[in-house]
Formats: sequence, C-alpha cells, structure tokens
Amino acid sequence: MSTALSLCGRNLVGFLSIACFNLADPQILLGFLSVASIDFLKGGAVLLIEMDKYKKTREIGYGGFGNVYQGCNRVTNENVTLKELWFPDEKEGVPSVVIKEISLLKEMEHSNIVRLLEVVSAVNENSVYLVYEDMECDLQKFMNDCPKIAKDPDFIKRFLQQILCGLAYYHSHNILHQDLKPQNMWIDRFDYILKLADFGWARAFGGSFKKIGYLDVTHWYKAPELLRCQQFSTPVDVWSVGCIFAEMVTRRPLFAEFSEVHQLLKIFSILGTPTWPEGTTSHLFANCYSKDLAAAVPGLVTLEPAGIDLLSKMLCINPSGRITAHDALKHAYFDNIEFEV
Amino acid sequence: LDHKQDDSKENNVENYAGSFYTTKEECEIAFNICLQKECSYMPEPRFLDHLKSCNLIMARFMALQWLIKSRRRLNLSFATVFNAANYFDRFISMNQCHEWKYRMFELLSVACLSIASKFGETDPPTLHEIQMEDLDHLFQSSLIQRMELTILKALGWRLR
Repeated sequence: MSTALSLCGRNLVGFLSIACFNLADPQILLGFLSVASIDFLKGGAVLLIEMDKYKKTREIGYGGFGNVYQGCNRVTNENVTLKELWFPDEKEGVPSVVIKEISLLKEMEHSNIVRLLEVVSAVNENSVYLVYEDMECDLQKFMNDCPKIAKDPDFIKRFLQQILCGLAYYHSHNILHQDLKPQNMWIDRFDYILKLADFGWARAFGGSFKKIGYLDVTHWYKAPELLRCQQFSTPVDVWSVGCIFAEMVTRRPLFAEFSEVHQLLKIFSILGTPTWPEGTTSHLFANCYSKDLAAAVPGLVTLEPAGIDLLSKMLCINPSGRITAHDALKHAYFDNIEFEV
Repeated sequence: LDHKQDDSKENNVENYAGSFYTTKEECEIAFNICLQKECSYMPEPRFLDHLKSCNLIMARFMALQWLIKSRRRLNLSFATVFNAANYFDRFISMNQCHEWKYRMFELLSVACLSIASKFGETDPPTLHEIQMEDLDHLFQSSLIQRMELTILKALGWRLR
C-alpha cells in the first residue's frame, strides 16, 4: 500500500487511483490528499508537500490569527509574504472566519490591491498560510528612504489616487479594510504602483462576525466613530486615507497620540469640537463644524487649495457627511493628473 | 505601456460595476461581468456525461435530498443549500473518479454543507448537529476538517 501511495504521488495520478488503493478507509485517502496539493487533479503541476514549496526567511509581524513571515518560493525563488491563519478550535473544522475571509480575498482582483497567490495548508493542518506577492517597500519606508520623491506634489496626488482606487474597489465589493496605514501600503519602486495590503481586519460588512483574538492596531488612523465605539461603515476607511494624505504632505502623522482618548481630543482640537443639541446624545457628531484645516495644521500650506478642500471633506467628523472613496476620485484635485508615469 | 493601459481599462470596468449604470454600454459591460462570474462557478464541462458514465446520478440525488432535508432540520437559508450543492457538483466534476464509495459521498455532503453554512449563515450549526440525522456514518471532526480543506482547495476557495 505504501509503495502504491508514493507511486501515485510521484506520477501525479489523481483521485482515481488513490481511491482505488484505499477503498477501505477514507482516513488514509484524505490523509494523503490533504498534504498533497490537489491542483494536480487539473493536470500538470509539480506535486510537492505543500508548505515545503515555501521557505520562511524571517518573521515580520503578528496578527490576531498568526504570524506574518517573509518567505520565498523554493522552485522559482520568487519572494512572497506568508500570512498564517490558525484554527483555534479543532472540533469545528475550518473556522468560518477563515472560510469567509479567504473566499473574500479570492474575489479581489485589482491593480492597486496586493494579489493573493495561493492558500497552502500547514503540515500539522491546524492552520493555513496565505501566500501574497511580495513588494519590498511600504509607504512608511518609502517616505523615509526617498523623501524627495515622496514629497513631490505630483507623486502625492498619484499615490492618493491609487489608494482611493483600491479602496473604492473594496467598498464596491462591500468590504471594509479597517486598518489602512502607511505600513499597509506597498510600493513597487520601479513603476511606483501602490497596492493596499494586510487584511487582518478586512471584513465584509453586512454579515455579523465573531471577533477572534486581538489585533494590535495603531489608533492614529482611526476615525472618531471608531474611537467612540459607535456604529461604523465605509467612512472609517476614508478617514484613514485622509490622515495618510495629510501625512504625505506634512511628513508627520496628523493625529499621533498615545491613547485613544487623547487621540479623540487631539482630533477635536484640530478640527473643532462637535456640538450637540440638548438631549440628543444618540446622534453624536450630528452638528459639527470644521475649522480651517490649512490654518490649524501649518504643514499643509504647500498643498494646493483643491487638495485642502478634498482633505477637509475626508476628515469630516460626522461620518455621514464624509466624502466616499468613489466621489473623492472625481474631486477637482485629480483633474490635472497625468495618467502615465 | 500596453499592459498598463489594459490595467486602467480594467479599473474603469470595475468602477462601472460599483456605481449606478447610466448608459446601455455600461449595462452591457456589467452584464458580461456577471455572466463571466457565473460561468466560473459552474461544474466542469461534460459534468452530466460524467455523472451518467459513473452511475453517480442516484448517489447525487440522495445527497441533494439529504441537503434539502437538512435545511429544514437546521433552519438554514436556501442560499446555503444551493451553495452546498454547487460545491458538491463542482468537486465531483473535478475528480474523475470511478470508485466513489457511499461513505465518501456522505463525508463529501457533510463537508459541503458545513462549508456552505460557515460561509453564509451568521450562526452556523456545529459539525455534530449537521450529522445528527439521516446518515449511516458519523465522522470525526478532524476527518471532516481535512475533507473541508480538500474541497476548499479544489474549488480554489471560490465560494461566491
């Protein structure tokens, strides 16, 4: 039996022959199938023990579900990013969050969103790895390493447009990113294509989800309604983009406080404290006015007036008054953009 | 450069899909996107011939019957059962296997229903609840998990 099994592994014979050898026990059959890539059923591909295809080179971070690694494909030598997703409960099979998240990511195909190359299961089968294309540089690093280019108004405009394109695509698929920050935006140094990455918090809105684990997200880019733990939706992402836009122009985070309470106070001190009509606590942020942004943040003087206007629309404290990613792309700020790099 | 222009064209198409369609042309583009999507979720070509040649029609009928019964028992949505049947068909159509065993069909049905309810239901039933009635075998959860992973991989995690 064992020779027969290794034989069909080598020769890429599909389900057919394996099933013939294992009429008695599906346990053995599936034990074999799950370590081997099932892609070969569709013909051709080299069969490898799945995770062996990739080599972890270093750990680059951790999320609520598992660690994130930089790795490379042993066959093609291509660099990849590996994101681990643990299965917390063995009794219920593959967790529903994992099923929902991966099936969602599989639908995403956009030039400004990092591509999910494949999903491989780990040897112990209690986790899977998401394999993403790798980009060597994130926006944070880019702003530090190449300040001259990153400072250029045309580049800022082009990057902002790409961020919004990716975001509008997400939102049109009913997906919230919820963790937009410069570290989650990857840049290709050759053609300056920017791609949104890290889907630790990416969730479909419309369904309800149980939260598993704890993610250490920075609150610098969090919208006020998130800081106040209120209902939220797509406008939270636009807020984050607004913060990043300002950061690209001024070279420093717009609201960078050490706690969420201070964060909220800082936002109010710059944008103005919302006022509430008496007795209407349920409608928070109902009545807010905006201070003049250019006056409040001195670093913004270099930004053209259309840019200031767009920024203040993105940083509208009231989420229902905030501009959408789709409308932001039509804003006058992008009127004079050159498409080709 | 050509490649880049293609990209920007694709983006435009996506933008139309995300907004309201105003012209006839836009409607046609949106319709084609939907049609293409629908096709990518179909079983492989010649699925029916495959079923007939392998004498799987009756087995498939029984599996679907079990899925429909389970819907009422577990109070699931119709979409969940529809999806489960879709995964079931796609998986069988990909595996040109002549030696399907009855218990493999049961395992496949359980795993398909489990995936579909985890995907579509807000409060999916447990693996134990799914296997409560009308089955000849009770499977270990570790085995179901492996079957789930096998199916998910075969379907490319594309669950619509």
